[in-house]
Amino acid sequence: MSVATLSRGNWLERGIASVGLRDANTNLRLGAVIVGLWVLIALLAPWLAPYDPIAQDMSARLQGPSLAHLFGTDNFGRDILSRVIYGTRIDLKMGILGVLFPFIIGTTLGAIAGYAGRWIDAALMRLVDVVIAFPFLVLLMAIITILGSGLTSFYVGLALVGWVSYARLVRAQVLVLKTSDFVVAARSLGFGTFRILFRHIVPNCIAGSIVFSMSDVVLTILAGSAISYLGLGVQPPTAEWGVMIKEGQNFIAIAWWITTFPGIAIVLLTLGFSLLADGLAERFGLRQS
Amino acid sequence: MTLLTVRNLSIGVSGRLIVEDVDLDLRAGEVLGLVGESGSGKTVTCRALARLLPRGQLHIASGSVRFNERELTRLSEEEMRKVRGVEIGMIFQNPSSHLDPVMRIGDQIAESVHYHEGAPMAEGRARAVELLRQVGIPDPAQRLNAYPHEFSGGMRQRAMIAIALACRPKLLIADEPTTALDVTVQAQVLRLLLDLRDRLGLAILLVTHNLGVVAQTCDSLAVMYAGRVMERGAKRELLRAPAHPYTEALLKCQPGAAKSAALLPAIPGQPPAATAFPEGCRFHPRCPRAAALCRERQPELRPLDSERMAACHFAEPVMSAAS
Repeated sequence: MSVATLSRGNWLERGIASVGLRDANTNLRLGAVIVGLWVLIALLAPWLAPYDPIAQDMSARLQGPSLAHLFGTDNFGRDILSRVIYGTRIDLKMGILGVLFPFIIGTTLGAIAGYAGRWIDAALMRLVDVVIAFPFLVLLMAIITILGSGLTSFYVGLALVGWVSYARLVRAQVLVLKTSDFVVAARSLGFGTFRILFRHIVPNCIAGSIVFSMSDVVLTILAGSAISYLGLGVQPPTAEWGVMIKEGQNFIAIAWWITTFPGIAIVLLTLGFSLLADGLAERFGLRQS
Repeated sequence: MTLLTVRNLSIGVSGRLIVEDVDLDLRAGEVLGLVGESGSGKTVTCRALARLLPRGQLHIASGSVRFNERELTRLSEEEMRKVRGVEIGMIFQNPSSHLDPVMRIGDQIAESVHYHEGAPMAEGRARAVELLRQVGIPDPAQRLNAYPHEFSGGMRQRAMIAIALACRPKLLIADEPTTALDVTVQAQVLRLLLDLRDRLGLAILLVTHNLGVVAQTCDSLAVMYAGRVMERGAKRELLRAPAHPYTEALLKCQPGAAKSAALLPAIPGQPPAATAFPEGCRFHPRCPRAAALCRERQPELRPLDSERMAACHFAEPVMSAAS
């Protein structure tokens, strides 16, 4: 048994090495390939999708997967495959924009808090504590409800809630790095505080945040789908995976494909970002491979 | 022309003085060695000259630092930033940790040119090539794009020198620049510093605890012990005939100083902690010549001849006994 496993392992390793995946890092490459494919799908959606994603065809309602409709159709006769493809555009954008704003805001505030110290640090970190004390999704929903449903509110809500993780991550690193030797050297070159903080300290502590942002994309896509599922995000008839799952759930007993395919899409996209996160962590030396 | 004049510089931390009454003089094109055991206040003194003491902990308690016709202790932080990097360059003991690990070497050199002279980064990089060539890094145009971890220890120290010299400073403060390097590389870096001194007319304040380094490079010396300058003077005379028992003891501890000793001699006892400096002369508990007077009264740094100063009640007999 063990001999068989070993030789198989060797065979696998040699296979991977021959494709050139081994030397770099398998997670990173695999993740990049998956995410890259999704980006391609999003960009090429008009050419890839066989049907208009919101065109209804009452003569072809609730059809199972077939050659004409590979993923089947929903209760309005819309092609699920086309809707999944078009949904990629919205979900990918949600994931990326929904992380970008918190990333920038959190990194900046965390860096300032860590470097300035004293009351600025105390004030910002108490604010972080307050935001973290609320359950993430509940707070997000509350903010979106106040601002009115829609994607813009979703981004604003995420920016208000999501920055805290980045702020904490970056602050902790800045606290360590601000007394480090290369910062003393930068000061000895007469650089100002702003340059030292954002050109020398932040680039040195950003790796952890980048890794975290990849897993954050996963959470954000799930949150976006959840928010849309609850009717607070993307509005029907726009094709978005969360909306599709919600619309399909009434028919789950008779038409499983309506919810299943967007569900698989969410799993595959988030898997890609998770692998990317793991791969980057390995690459930056934040974790042993 | 005197470039740097330090008078009565004292550095305090929470009500105590850890460096007291330091006097230094440095002319353009001269190499001044600041020598002493670990913890004698050499590094703190250097940092104080560039006003780089860790904020909220150490501060300049009193004294004056005149550099290039200006009183540095009275400059605003803004004005001081222009002095640092432009007129005073600094290099440090551990080049590996004093370079920004995620920035290309070329950019680290160009950055200072860009920041202080407003030159575009491309122009800074052009000067970086020239500087890397000057500090003896082969194939400088290629090396511009390297990260610090791609350099060896000696190359990193050369790169750090290039960064410090980017804006053509008049004074280079070198805080134990060779301590982290192996002996052959040490010699190369010291030769490079002397070479730069000759070509650029650079004044160098060389901090070290290695008397061998001092003998090779310095023009004059200041010996520190427990936060005070014990003796100052021209290198040759000072090494030949020390006027302070501490200098004398240090010289005896050099490998090769004793003719037949199997074991290297050591100065008995430990240097005092900054919290418990002894009364009177700070060296008296370890001094072979200590007398009653040494326990009671702290000797001032006083001139012995035109160039030599020593802080010992018995400087003259010590000096004549040695020569």
